[in-house]
Amino acid sequence: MLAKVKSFALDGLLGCEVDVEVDINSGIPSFDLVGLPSAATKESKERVYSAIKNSGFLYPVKRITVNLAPADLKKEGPGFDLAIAVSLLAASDQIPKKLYKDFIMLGELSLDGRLRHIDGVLPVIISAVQSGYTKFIVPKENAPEASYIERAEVYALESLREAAALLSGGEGFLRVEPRKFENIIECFSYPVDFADVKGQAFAKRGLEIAVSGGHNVIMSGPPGTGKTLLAQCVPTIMPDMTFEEAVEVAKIHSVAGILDSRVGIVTARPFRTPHHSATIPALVGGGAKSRPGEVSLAHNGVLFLDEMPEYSRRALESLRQSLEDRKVTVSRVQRTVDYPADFMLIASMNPCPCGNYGSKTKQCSCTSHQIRQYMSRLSGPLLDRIDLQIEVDNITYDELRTTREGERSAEIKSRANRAREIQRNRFASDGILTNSAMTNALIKKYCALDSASERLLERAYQKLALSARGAARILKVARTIADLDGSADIAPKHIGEAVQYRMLDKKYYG
Amino acid sequence: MADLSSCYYSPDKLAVLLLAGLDGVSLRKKMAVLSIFENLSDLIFNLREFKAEVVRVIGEDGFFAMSERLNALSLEAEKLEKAGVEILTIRDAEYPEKLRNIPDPPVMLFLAGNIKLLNTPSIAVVGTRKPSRYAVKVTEQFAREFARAGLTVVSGLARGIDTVAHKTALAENGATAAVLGSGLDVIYPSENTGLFNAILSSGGLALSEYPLGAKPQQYHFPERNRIVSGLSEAVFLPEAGERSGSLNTVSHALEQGRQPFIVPSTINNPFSAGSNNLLRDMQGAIALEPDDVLKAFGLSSKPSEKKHVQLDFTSAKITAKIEEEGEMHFEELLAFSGLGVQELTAVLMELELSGVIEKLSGNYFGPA
Repeated sequence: MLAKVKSFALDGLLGCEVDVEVDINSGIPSFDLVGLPSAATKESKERVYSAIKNSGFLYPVKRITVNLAPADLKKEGPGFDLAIAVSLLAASDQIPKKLYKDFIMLGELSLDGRLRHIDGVLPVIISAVQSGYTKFIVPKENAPEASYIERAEVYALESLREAAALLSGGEGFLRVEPRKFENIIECFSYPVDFADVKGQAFAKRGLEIAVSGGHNVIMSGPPGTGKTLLAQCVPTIMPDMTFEEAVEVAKIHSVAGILDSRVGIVTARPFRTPHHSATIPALVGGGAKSRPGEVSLAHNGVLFLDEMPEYSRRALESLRQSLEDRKVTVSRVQRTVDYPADFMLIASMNPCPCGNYGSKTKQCSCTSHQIRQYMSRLSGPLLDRIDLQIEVDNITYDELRTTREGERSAEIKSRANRAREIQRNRFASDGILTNSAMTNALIKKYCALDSASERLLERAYQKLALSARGAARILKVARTIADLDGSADIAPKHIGEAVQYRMLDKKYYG
Repeated sequence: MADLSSCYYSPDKLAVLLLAGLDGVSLRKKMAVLSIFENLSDLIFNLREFKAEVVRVIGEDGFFAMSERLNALSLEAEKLEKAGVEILTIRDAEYPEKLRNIPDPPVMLFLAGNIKLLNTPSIAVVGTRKPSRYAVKVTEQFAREFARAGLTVVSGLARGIDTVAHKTALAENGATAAVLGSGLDVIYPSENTGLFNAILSSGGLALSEYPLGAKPQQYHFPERNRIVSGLSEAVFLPEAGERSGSLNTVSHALEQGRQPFIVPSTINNPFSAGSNNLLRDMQGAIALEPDDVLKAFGLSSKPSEKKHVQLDFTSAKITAKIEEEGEMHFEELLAFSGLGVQELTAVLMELELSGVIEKLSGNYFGPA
């Protein structure tokens, strides 16, 4: 007797339809699982056996063949347990055959027949709805992430027994209540705020410019001066997530298994801080399962590299591609997967290996040679993709005779949003969204300087011995500063401010 | 020995070269051997005739080593000539008098560049390899005035103060001489190779008492220091730690009767404890402005034309405050000026470009 149940496998961020076919024949009792299952998938056999018995059903002691079609797609994970169990029950006539065909079934079984949480439910449901499926059975724990897709009729169940009851026409099962993303995001707030950061007016302004224009940033300052806190505050001044952005991020996080299962979607802009010992696959994605890397987990958010010169040169170089393409292509023997990776890069570094260079209270113990070596770990091509270099204060604020109140993130955010609006309108026909994405042709078109600004820039070059490779970056940043100012043209004061954020050039590369 | 007589270097110089490169013989004994020969060319051409006298000073082994070196001398001379190195021996008339009069003068010097600088009024500028920001500024300020007044700035091409001194002199188109603790073809530290070449190409001088290929051995540096101070009439020390090698230069200077000049620096910095301690012992050595040093040469600093920059009211107010306080933090300036962050940034940038103020690290600003 034959039965066929629909399920889905994951291929990158896309769901692929998988038919779970079960055939029961007379013969020597056996269980064969075919269709390129991975180890975790193969072990379904034992889980399904126990789950069926412990749910009060009969396990057919016959020759059982299970096929996961298409046979050439690698099937990962335990997500097919439910589909296999249901099709076994159907093939052995323990549940009626007419209802289960409408459903997509996802879920891992525990030995007592309960349904357990699986990764990647959100991308599967999105793909399935696009291919015309509407009814789903998912584990109860996965209910939140399934609740944002309006067209999907999702049943979140606790056990195999419940699934069997539903598929036998049982009453009293309610579909998961669809949730509105707008309601969720309204209640959300970040645990940090720029107002909590004392002083650092210069750095805060730099980060405001960076967020407004989509620029990447490097912060330089001794350890313990608040670089990490500043970076953590950056998501609070980025625009609120739109539903589309949130779904995209949630898909990636769901595949990686880090989605908060109570919320089921991502409301905070991601803030990822990979350690400097992270491997290249961990950073950009890959590994045996072609998992998304940190750059993709930071999609639509912030990737923070603390102590950037400590990262291996190869790791840093591997970031260049994703900074350029805004996505990552992970190629493995079996398949090639694209993950989006559109993030804002915030890097931090010490001014020297010991961290005390330029400190007023501590003596730096590095030689000039060591400092040069330390700086040279940041390759020019990578620095070329970082528009702003921000020097962070290195003092305790008790020393300062100032009592300025910090601005709240919300105020900064509204300014940044206005500047982004201006950029969206300006680039409407250019296919980009922010100043940081301007090509040389666009810089020429939109960053024309009057003679006074031109003169100022020239003087800055001479006096500060800036390197030529910074020229385009100064113009881009000046454009953003002018946008923040609501000014159509770049004025000398905008250039003057932009130059202040190229200080690494002056000190170490002049 | 026909090839030696046609050599670029005179037989007299070759004779000293032979002796100077002799291993295991003390400087004093070498001088004693030199005094045997009235006519130095005899050492090259008729060494055998003087065997008895030479053996009496340095023994059979010493004499044997000398003969060995004599055979290889033409090769060595050729190498020196190819490298464009001049040699100057203590028997030469051009050997600088001030160096000849110090205890243990070097028997010979290897030189590259402008030899005339040996006999110009010179000031040694020495100090720590890890200078504070303050010491760098002081060194620049003093070395600039030394160069403008026409003094030759002598230093050791080391990291830190030495590098700043050489660079400042070059920037002022002044004369500068570098005394190495290694052979002239072994630049240490290697990152100063560019500086070394710049010194030679701009009419400066590099010299060493060690032959080509000599490694910068640790014991070379104290020896080198006696030449640095010996070539100079005075020694200027902006900053030195308690165990700094530049303290050794100062003690050589005192032994040689050269005048030390020391700049006081902060008592909190362990890297200036050495120079501050010296000041406690020698209060007369204090130098508070370049003229303190130049007076010893009978010179005075040239009045520099003060740049006049037209400042608007806010800029002038901020500049005055920075000058009054010495240095101000960005946040303090925000509170003081009442400007917004972006206005203040623009004003400070303008002031920095006009050369009125200077941005220090950690978002501090100080007068230029």
